[in-house]
Amino acid sequence: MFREHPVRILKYSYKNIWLLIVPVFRIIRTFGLDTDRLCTWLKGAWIDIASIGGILFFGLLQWHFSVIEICGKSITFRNGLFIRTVTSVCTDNLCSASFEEPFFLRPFGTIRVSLSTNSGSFGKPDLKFVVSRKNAEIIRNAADPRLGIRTPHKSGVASILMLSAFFSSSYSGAIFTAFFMFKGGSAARGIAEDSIEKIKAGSAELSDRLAAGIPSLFITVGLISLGMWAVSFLANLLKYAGFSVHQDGDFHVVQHGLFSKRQAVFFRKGIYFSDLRQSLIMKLFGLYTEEIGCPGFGNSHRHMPVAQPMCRINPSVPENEIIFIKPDSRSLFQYTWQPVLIQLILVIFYLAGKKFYPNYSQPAEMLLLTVGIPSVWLIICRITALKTGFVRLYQDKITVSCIKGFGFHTLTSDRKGLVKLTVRQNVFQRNSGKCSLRIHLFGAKSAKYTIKGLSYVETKKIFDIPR
Amino acid sequence: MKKVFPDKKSLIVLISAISVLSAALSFFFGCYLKSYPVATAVAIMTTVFSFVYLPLFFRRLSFRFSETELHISSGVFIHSEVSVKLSSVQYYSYIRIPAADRIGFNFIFFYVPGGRILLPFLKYHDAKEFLCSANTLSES
Repeated sequence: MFREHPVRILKYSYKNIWLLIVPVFRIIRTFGLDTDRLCTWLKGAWIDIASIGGILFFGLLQWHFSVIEICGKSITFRNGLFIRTVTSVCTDNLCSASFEEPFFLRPFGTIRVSLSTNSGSFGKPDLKFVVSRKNAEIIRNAADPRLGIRTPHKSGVASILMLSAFFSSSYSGAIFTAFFMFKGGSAARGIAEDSIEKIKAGSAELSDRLAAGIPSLFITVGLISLGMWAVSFLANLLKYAGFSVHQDGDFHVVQHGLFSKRQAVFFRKGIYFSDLRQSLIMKLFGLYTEEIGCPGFGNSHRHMPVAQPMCRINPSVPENEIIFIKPDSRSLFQYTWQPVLIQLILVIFYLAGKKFYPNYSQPAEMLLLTVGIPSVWLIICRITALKTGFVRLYQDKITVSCIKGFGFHTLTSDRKGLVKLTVRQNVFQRNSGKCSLRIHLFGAKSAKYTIKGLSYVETKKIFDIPR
Repeated sequence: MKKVFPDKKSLIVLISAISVLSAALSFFFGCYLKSYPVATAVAIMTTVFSFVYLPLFFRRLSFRFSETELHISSGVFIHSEVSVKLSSVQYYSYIRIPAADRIGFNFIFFYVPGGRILLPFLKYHDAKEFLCSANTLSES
């Protein structure tokens, strides 16, 4: 039996303590080290200090009554002061476990442990606590004694660089930067504003030098987007540096992180599906990133459920294949009508704007480039999906290759992992004998994938095969 | 299959607590805020809830369990039956307040694939029996 790490006292207290600690520090700053004034202040502020002391004491009590017990095959967590809660997990039911050392907790020698089962509480782990390294090892052994003995296979630097590059985006970089500005206060906002002014001045100078007629606004937006992407790239690099994988018959252990180290264990029995993800460029080079759908693995939006960062898989001859369906090449319109329509609307607005509202021609051009280029990219991706998509049904599993957004997915799931199969036919598809197949997979995130342009007659055969 | 009912003592405790709270609120609204309609509304709602709804809820709540299965029957206006295999329980949470062994405020959450199931107001020894069955089945 052991308790959580004492650093957890702050967690139990922090929700209330920040209400009082800011005015206390403000007053200390005002009065400085003058003893007389400090005594006067103490006479007036003793209630605030007593309140902080009470909150900390309450947090200490909650920590003292939070106990973790490992007995046989069960891990039990008891907590609560007046309302006592006992939560017990059988280690045989564990689907995944993660052991995280955030950089700000590493000096204290603490590890954040999260345990997940196949229960209905998706999105957050079933058990979560903060313990010392020694106790984390005890929990790891309780989950499976073989977890301590492993020879990890480390991924190369090139794999990590490519993973970070392909899965970075200006959007996520902007989120990081906004978070930094929000948390950093006025100092951070000052740094950001100075940087933007410098970028504007630099892009104006660059625009004059290039003399290619590129407006400075375009260059500013381009540089800021590139900067956001670089922030996201750096964050992914730090997150996935040192990626290593160990595979056993029953479990996988994935380890990564430079400053904040993370080790995730997921058991084969808990895997709902595997997903080979590609972008268009990765598809050209035959590279995949393997992700796993497993409870607790990839719950957090900060971590992708990556089991293999970059690999090259040789297509094998399928065995026991029952059904194989590919989209019809004549379904090009179904795949591309949305981005083509967006592109047409943008071009019409640009031409109309240029002719009738010359003052707005630059923003219209900006809009055409910023939305038009991704639309063209999406058209290319959708055409590629039409050529490479398929549905394969085996005796005991199903494999689907489709597109979702800008990414390509090749999903493999056991037949029992399929939650729902939906066949949809609109009026046009009914006339041409085509349909769309939507599959819902059992998993934490909404695992819903659609493949269009399939033959209706062939697709209906999937429902005739007994599950 | 063994049939189990919630502890009647927890009903008495609940009705007493709600009555005291209702009296305090009605006094506050009536005498301090001079808002007699609000005080009357509070008194009527809490009386109906305590002396009509809660007793019906407790009467219609029952648990039937065997070594492998658990059935929960509940609902005042809409009757509902839930059936679950004890072997599908992934883990549980057992919540109790001080003196729960005397007044029956024992709650168990069973977490199963697809959601969780609440067993409220159990007697102490019934709660222990449920937990024992769940433990035995998950370890086997």
